[in-house]
Amino acid sequence: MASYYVAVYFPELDAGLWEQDEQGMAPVVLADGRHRLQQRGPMAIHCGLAPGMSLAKARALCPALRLRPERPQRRLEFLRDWAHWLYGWGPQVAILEPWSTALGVEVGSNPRWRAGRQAFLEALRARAEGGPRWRWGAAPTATGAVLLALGAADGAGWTVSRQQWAQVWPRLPLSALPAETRVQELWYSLGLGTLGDLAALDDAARAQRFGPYWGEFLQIVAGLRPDPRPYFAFPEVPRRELELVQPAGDWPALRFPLARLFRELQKMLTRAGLGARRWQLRLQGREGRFEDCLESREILSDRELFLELWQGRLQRRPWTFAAETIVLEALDTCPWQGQQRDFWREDLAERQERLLEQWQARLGPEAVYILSPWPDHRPEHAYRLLPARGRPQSWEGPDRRPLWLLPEPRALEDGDVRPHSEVERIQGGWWDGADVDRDYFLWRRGDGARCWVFRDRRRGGVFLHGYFA
Amino acid sequence: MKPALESLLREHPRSLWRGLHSPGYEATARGGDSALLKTGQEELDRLLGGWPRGGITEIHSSTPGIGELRLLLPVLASLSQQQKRWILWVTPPYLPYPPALAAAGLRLERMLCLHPRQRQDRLWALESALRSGTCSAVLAWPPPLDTTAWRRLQLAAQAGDTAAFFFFNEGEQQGAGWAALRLQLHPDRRGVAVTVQKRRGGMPGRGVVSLPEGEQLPLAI
Repeated sequence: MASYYVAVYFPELDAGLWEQDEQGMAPVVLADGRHRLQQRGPMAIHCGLAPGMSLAKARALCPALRLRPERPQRRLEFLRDWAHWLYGWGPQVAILEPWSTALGVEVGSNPRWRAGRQAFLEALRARAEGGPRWRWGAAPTATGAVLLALGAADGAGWTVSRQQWAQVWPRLPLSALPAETRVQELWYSLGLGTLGDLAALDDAARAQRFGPYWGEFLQIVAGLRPDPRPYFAFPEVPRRELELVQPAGDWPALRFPLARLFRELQKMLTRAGLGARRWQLRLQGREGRFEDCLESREILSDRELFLELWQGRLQRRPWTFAAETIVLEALDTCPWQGQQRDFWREDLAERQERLLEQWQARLGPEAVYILSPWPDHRPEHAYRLLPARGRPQSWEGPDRRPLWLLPEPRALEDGDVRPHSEVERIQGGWWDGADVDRDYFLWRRGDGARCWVFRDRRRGGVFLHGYFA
Repeated sequence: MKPALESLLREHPRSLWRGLHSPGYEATARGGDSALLKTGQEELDRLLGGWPRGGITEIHSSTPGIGELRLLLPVLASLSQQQKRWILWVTPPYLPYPPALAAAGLRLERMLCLHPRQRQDRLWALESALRSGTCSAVLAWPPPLDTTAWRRLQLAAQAGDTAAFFFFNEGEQQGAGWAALRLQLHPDRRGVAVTVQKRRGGMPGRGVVSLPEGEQLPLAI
């Protein structure tokens, strides 16, 4: 299937991000070393500031102007978020260097795109709403797509079909190319205005005048030469962070932002074809820091279950300060493509598993257990408490054992205790230091209880050890 | 009887019943799906008709160890062998001793114990277990229950089709509850004396169920 690309370009991104992060308090610009405007936020553009304008002139026009530095890390974070979103539309997403604020996604293999691009464009608009300026372009080559995006208006774009591309790309202006000013001026002085003009030159003459790069570049734009690019790598530990507008000191305040983080992280994982079993939550505030990890047996993809498990866990181990930042990380990820479910019937084992997870999260793993007999003749050693998913042993112990066993034998007054059954002698156990020598029998207490009692032959005394309940 | 009433009785056998017939009586009589579980002991079957399924049975006893668990062993063994659902023990006062349970025919892989510490956690765990439909039977030693808690738990047991057995010491839980069955147990020389204080669709009564003196536990139904 032939490739087809959509490019999303964010002009003057740093300034746009500053204005967004400062919630539109004032126009923002970035300047170069000569104090000339390099980037303008949407508000600065609205004030009539032009690129290349001196900072002094800009301040005269707009006294509230704020000068801000570049933030490569913030820019990358923003592009990474977008790249994760674009992975929902295609298998390959890359930054389209040398345009460091343009992202390209290969959509040719996406049946939704082939069926009609309307859904994609609506989703794109919804995603970009309220954010920095953006433009888009769609073409059979990634570089071609970004050249189209460069020429579009804010929030708009151009699409060129595969059939039309051979006629369209030669008409694109040379001003869109990432060439030095010197080269651009040279092109204009020679009367070259479009990519077609440049392509019409003799290869050797073009290479000699402007360097060999532009011949290859034109072939890449035309789709005659491959255009390999490093794809956006998925982070090793998928992670989302959120600064809270209102600090969260209890579960109701935390629930909504946590649900949002899970939803975003889950989308990110789904696009990467991954699932996670462990989730780490970090809460940070001025007065403290809290960290906890939730582990589930199966891949956790259900938001309600995720929230129920965290609610239970945080009720058992609450945090005690006002959290201002939440960080959620998906650990222990593995390839996962979703789960096939029965449409009509929910599996009993699945429901039991879900309930176990909830109980263990809220009550603690030690509060949920199964019972297993254990081959040992001494009553207090003849059982084990196993974790909830363990398998009990099958061991047929001796008859005449009580249904209730006391955690510790309880001393009795010797006076009224008389055997009401045959005596069973249990002795031995020197090999593990718990040697016993006891005579067990049934005793009907005055209140009618059927007690399992033993007389300690070594130390003396009578002890209650269980009930035939 | 009017045909409309007959039809309602037929359509809602579990929620509508005649005073002298326990819910599901007609179904039981026809041999169909019953709202009652066989107790596995003749005297008890005569006295109760069966253990309520999808409802709560209160068991009050004067002291532990008079046969309160042995009354239930046959039905628990039967449920553990016939269903994949759990038999859940919630905050038992002592350790349910695995060798004795296994000897009575209970499949221990179907048994699960829960030990919530806080009162709220105990009620939450109990309700989630009853409502989920994952447990065939729940044996619980709950904290004192008010009317709201009773009603919630009763509806949960009904929704999950779970036979719930709540154990109380004598005098611990007073007043009217939403239980389908309330029994008072006293020791007796032949076994255990069972007084039926409340029975949905039936009359109070009294009888003695003979239990072996710990020599041989009753086997599965």
